[in-house]
Amino acid sequence: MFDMSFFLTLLPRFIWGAAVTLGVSLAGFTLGTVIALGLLLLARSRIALARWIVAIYTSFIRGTPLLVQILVIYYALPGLTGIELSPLVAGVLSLSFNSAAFIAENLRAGLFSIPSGQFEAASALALPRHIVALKVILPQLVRNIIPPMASEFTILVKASAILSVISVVELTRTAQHVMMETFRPTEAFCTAALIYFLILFTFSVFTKRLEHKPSGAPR
Amino acid sequence: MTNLDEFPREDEAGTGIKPPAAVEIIGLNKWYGAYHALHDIDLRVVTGERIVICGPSGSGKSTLIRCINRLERHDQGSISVGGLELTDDPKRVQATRREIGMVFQNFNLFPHMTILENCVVAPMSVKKIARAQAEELARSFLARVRIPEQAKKYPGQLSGGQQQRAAIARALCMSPRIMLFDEPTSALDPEIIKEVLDTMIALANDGMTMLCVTHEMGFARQIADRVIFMDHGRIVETAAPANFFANPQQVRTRQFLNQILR
Amino acid sequence: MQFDVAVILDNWQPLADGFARTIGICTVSLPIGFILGVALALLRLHGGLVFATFAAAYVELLRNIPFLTQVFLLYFVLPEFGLRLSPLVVGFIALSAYASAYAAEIVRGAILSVPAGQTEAGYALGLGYATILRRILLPQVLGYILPTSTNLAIGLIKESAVLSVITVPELTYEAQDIIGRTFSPVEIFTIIALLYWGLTALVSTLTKWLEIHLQPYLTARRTG
Ligand SMILES: Nc1ncnc2c1ncn2[C@@H]1O[C@H](COP(=O)(O)OP(=O)(O)OP(=O)(O)O)[C@@H](O)[C@H]1O
Ligand SMILES: [Mg+2]
Repeated sequence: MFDMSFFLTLLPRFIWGAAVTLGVSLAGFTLGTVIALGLLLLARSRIALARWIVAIYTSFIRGTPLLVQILVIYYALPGLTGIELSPLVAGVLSLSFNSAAFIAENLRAGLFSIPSGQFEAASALALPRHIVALKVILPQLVRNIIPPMASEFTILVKASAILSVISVVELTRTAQHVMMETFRPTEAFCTAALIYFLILFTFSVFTKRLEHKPSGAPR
Repeated sequence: MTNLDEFPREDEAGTGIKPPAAVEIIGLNKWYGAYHALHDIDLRVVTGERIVICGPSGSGKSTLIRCINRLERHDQGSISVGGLELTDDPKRVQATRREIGMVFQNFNLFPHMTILENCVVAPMSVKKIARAQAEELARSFLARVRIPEQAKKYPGQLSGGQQQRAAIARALCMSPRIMLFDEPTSALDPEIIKEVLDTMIALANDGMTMLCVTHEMGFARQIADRVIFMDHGRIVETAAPANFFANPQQVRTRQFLNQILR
Repeated sequence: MQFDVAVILDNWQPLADGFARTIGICTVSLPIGFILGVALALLRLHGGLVFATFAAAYVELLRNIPFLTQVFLLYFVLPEFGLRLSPLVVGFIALSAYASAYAAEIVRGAILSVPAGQTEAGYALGLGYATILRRILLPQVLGYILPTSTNLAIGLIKESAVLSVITVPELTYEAQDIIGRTFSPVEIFTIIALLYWGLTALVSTLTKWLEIHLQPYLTARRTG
C-alpha cells in the first residue's frame, strides 16, 4: 500500500512543511514569551483592573479551543477593527496569544519554586547581591523553568497543525495538498504524522533528560 | 480456595517419620543484575522455631526473608514452605503466601482503610470469610496486640508503635503458620520499641514459627532458638543466642557485635 | 461595526444542537478513553515485554502527533482500506483514542506514585493483583486522578472543535455553517467562544467542588 518512490519524490515538500511548522511554532513561542512577561507584570500590578484583565484573559485562553481563537483572529478581528491579517500573521498571533497564558503560569511557578532558604543561606554567607542573583538564583531558575517551557514548545508544535485550517501551508496543510494532487491520502498523512512524531518524540526525550538531571549535577 | 495442604508433597510416600520443615532452603542464590545478593544459603527452620537474623546493612537479610514469601524471585536452589517447593506457579505462590505473615519495617498499612478494614480485607477476599466473622477475628487479634480501641481509626491517626502492632494483627488474621519480620522496630522511636517487642515475644511464647530480621539483641537473647549472622549475602555464623553472644566463632561476627553492643 | 444579537437569536437552534453534540461527543469519549487508558496503563506496567512495548508505542504515537493530523489520517486513510465510516463515528474514534493515550499516562503515573510497599503488603497477605489494584491502589490514587482528569476533560472539549474540519456537526462546525449563510463571524464566534468558555468553566468548577467535598474522604482517611 505504501509507495516508497512517492515518498522520496515528495519528501522535500514535506520537509519544507515541517520547517514552516517549526518556524511558526518558534515565532509563536518567542512572541508568546514576551506577552507572558507582560502578563506577569500586569498580574502583579497594583491596579485591580489590570489584574482582572490578566485573570480573564488567562481563563478565556485556557477555556476555549485554539481553533476558535484562530478563527476569531482571522475572521472576526478584521470585521471588528478593520485590520486584515494574512493567514501566516493571524496564525502566529493566535499561537502567541494562546501560549502566553500558559507560559506566564510556567514562569510564575518557576519564580516561586525557589525556597526562601536559598536567599537566607546566601545572605548568611554574606554573598554580594549580584553574585546571589547570578550564581545562586539564576541557575535554579533556569533549571526550574526550562523543562516546562520545553514541553510548552512541543504543545505549540502540535497546536500549529490547526493553522492549516486558515490555509497556512505548514506540515499538515502540505499533506492535504499532496493528497489532493496525488490522491494518495495514506502516504501523505502517514508521512506528515511520521515527521511530527520524529520531531516531537526526540524533543520530548531530550526534555526528559533535562528534567532528570539531578540537582547537584555539574553543568 | 487452594490450601497449601492440597498440593502433593515430594515426601508424601515417605514414612512420615520426619515432619516437613516449616521452611527449608537449600543452595539458594540470588542476583540483582550482576550483583550477587545471596550466596549458597542453606537454612532449615522447624515448626515452632524462632530465628533471629542480623548482619550489617546490605548483607542480604531482607532479600533472604523476602524470597521466602516470593516478594523476590530466587535464581538458584530451592525454597520449600511446609514441604511444598516454591515455583513460578502463581497458585503455589499464593497458597504459600497465605501461610506466611509478613511485617515490614514501615508497616505498609493501607492508609485509606480503617485498622479493622486492613485486618479483614485479606480474610474476606482470600479466604472468603463472611464480614461479621472476619471482623470478630480481627477484633480478637487487635485485642491481643492490645489496641482494640483503635479498630475504627485510620492508620494515619495512630502512633508508629500502634501502627506496627496493627500490622502484626493484620498478618495474624490470616492465621499464618509462619511469621516473617523485617526490622519491625527500626522505624520506631526508642520508647515505643518495647511495646512492639512485647507483642512479638507474646507471639513467640504462643509457639509461632518466626523469622525476625532485627538488631534488638535483648529480644534475640530472650526468645531466639538460633541467631543467624549474615554478611555479603552469606550466612557466616549460626548459633544458639547464649553461644552467639558469649562466644562468636567468626571474626566478622565479633566485629559486628562489637559495633552494635557497646 | 455593530454587534447584531439578532443573528444569534435567529440561529439559536443549530447553535444549541451543535453545543449538545459537542457535549455528547465528549461525554462518550472521556469514559471510553479512560477505560482504554486503564487497560493501556496496566499493559505498560505489567504486560510483559511485548504488550508493554505495544502500549508504550501506542501512547507515544498518539501523544506526539497533532490531533488534527490524527483526525485527517483516520478520515482519509480508513476508506483506503475499505472502511467507510461517517464523520461522527471517525470523530468518536479519534477523540476516544486521543483520550486513552493521555488517560493511560495519568493512570500509570498515579499507580507509580503509590509506594511499592503497598503492593508488597497486599501480596504478602495473599491477595491477587486484581484485588490489590481494586482495593489498595486505585482508591489511593483517586485524589491524584481527579484533578488531572479534569484537565483531560477540558482538553477534550477544546480538541473536539477540531472535528469540525471533517464536518462533524459539533459547535464549531455549526458556527462556520451559520457564518457561511449570514456573514456574521463576530457575533457567532463570540457566542461559541462564550459557550466553550462556560462549558470548561463549569467542568472545572464542578470538579473543584467535588475535590473540596471529597477532600475529607480522600485525604483525612490517609493522614487523619
Ligand atoms: N531491587 C534491588 N535491585 C538491586 N539491588 C538490590 C535490590 N534490593 C536489594 N539490593 C541490593 O542487595 C543487597 C542486599 O539488600 P538487602 O535489602 O537484602 O540488605 P539488608 O541486609 O536487608 O540491609 P538493611 O539492613 O539495610 O535493610 C544490597 O546491596 C542492596 O543494594
Ligand atoms: Mg533490610
